[in-house]
Amino acid sequence: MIECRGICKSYERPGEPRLDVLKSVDLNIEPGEFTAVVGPSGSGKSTLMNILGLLDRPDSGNYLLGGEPVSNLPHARLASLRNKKIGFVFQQFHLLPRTTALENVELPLVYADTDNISDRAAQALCRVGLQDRMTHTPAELSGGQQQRVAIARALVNDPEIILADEPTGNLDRESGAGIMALFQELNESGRTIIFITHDAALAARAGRVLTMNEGILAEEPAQPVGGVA
Amino acid sequence: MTWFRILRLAVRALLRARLRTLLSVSGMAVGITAVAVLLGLGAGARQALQDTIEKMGRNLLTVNAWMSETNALRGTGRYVNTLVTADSEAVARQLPGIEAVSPVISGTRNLRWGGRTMNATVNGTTPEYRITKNHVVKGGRFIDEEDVCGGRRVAVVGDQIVRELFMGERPIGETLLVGRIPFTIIGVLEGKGTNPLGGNEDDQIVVPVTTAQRRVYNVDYLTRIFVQVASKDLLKSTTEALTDLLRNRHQTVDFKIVDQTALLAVQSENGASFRRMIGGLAGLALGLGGVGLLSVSLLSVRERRTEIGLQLALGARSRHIMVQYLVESLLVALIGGVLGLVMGACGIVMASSWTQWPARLSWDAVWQPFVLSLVIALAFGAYPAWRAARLDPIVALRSK
Repeated sequence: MIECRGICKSYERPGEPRLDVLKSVDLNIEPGEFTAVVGPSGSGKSTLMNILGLLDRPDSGNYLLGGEPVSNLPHARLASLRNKKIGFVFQQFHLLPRTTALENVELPLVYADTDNISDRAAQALCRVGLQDRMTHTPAELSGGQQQRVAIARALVNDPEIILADEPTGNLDRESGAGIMALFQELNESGRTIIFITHDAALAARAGRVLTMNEGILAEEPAQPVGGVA
Repeated sequence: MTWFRILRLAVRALLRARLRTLLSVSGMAVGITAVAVLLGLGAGARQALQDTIEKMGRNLLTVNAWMSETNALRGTGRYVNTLVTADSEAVARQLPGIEAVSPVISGTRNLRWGGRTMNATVNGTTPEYRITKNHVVKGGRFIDEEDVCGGRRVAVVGDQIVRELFMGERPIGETLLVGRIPFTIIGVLEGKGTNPLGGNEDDQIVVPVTTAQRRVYNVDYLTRIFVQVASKDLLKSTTEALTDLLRNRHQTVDFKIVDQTALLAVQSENGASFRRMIGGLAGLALGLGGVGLLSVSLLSVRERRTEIGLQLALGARSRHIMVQYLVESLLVALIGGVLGLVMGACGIVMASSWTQWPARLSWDAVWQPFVLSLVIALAFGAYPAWRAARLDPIVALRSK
């Protein structure tokens, strides 16, 4: 599903030393895997997610998504891949304000060539248990409910991969647990999920844990992650 | 389908930010109102000028009897008595491109009827006078060839005379005393009102030129000759041909040819410069509306960076974002344009009914500001839309 070889990414700002964010990252993710990425702030987790999610390009290295090399595809093609193959979930939910849950979930379908977008959005909302909240705006929903709307939005175009950047970071423990349960459920029904977290307990619920430290990705934490959250 | 959905997104975005939308819509509306009113005033002024020219006689040249060159030089001149009916006949016969020629002997005489009296201009002329001066006969008939040949004492009276001397009674068939000569009234002219050059033709009576020369004024010459040419383009060449012809006949230049259209054009120049000033103001208002739209759009793009980043992450292409923001600008301009047109139309109606300015609601005053508003939306909306489409999704998502 995902195959990365020697992915490097660095940032240069005038007057500052070059910052190597990713140092030759290798990564294989098989379909149906449930993977957690942990690591301290600034270790390069988000940059890796952005590259996996086709929002950013690596400086060097190869990235094959579903067997297709994607490092040098034109912008329009990348947008189309993001739309069809990847669902994003963000820490801040990123829902459109003063817009109903249904319309928020419809958003990815605006850019997809499909019909019945309302029906499909409604189905996605049912899938996350919000069938009674379709006409509510974000302001009328709890944090957990807002994140569920965002997950429904990530699911609505039936992507193969869901990328979640600290999906429970803005939620209380109970809501966070609910969201994790939902991810687990989605994974059991066959979806590939990669999520970033600071919480070792949450990471432990994933089938596979990767540690990011100063731009180097390693399998399984060398020591239990603690004191970072 | 995608484009239609993007249109819906744009509409929702505008509805979401009501105050912002209202502000840019009203900025646009004010500019469009100004332009619509200006165009209305312009159209009204053109129409008024056109009407005046029609009333005074279209493509009309006036040959006035003037002073002989020697008298004019001495500065003690009397108007000459050399302009005669034979001149007018020669003009009609010899010059090309002439529609109608009417000789006129004109003066002021006292009119009396039914114990009332008033002073009036008495014009002795031929049937062509009606054509050259574009008069409409409201009742009865105009003088004809037989009246002229026979030197008949018949008169056609102007509107003001009917009102002031006859007090609205039907004058046709009545006998009117012109000085001490009785005339039978055969027709009434429709009123024209005062023209912008200060002339009033409603206080005249028209009688056959022969009768006027023999009975009223006891002279054998004319005051002026009206010459109507076939088209506006012939005014200049005909003026020259007329000058040549009459100089040959009189062996001197003792006449003055006046082109009324040219006089009116000079007059309307003043109005034109005034309208140019309003034009500048309207342009300024519209420009301000455009700049308002620009700044509100830029602010909107800045405020909605996260939203744009999200849209890009969810699979929107740059051009989808570009189109959405352009459509938002266009919708604002469209709504502002329609509002401005309505307010402009009200302004035009008010201007024409409450002030002396001739304003007119023309088709130009509708479509031109409308197209202008769309052009402004595209011009001032393009940059913010381009900025939005160019955003880096990562930076956009991270901001906040």
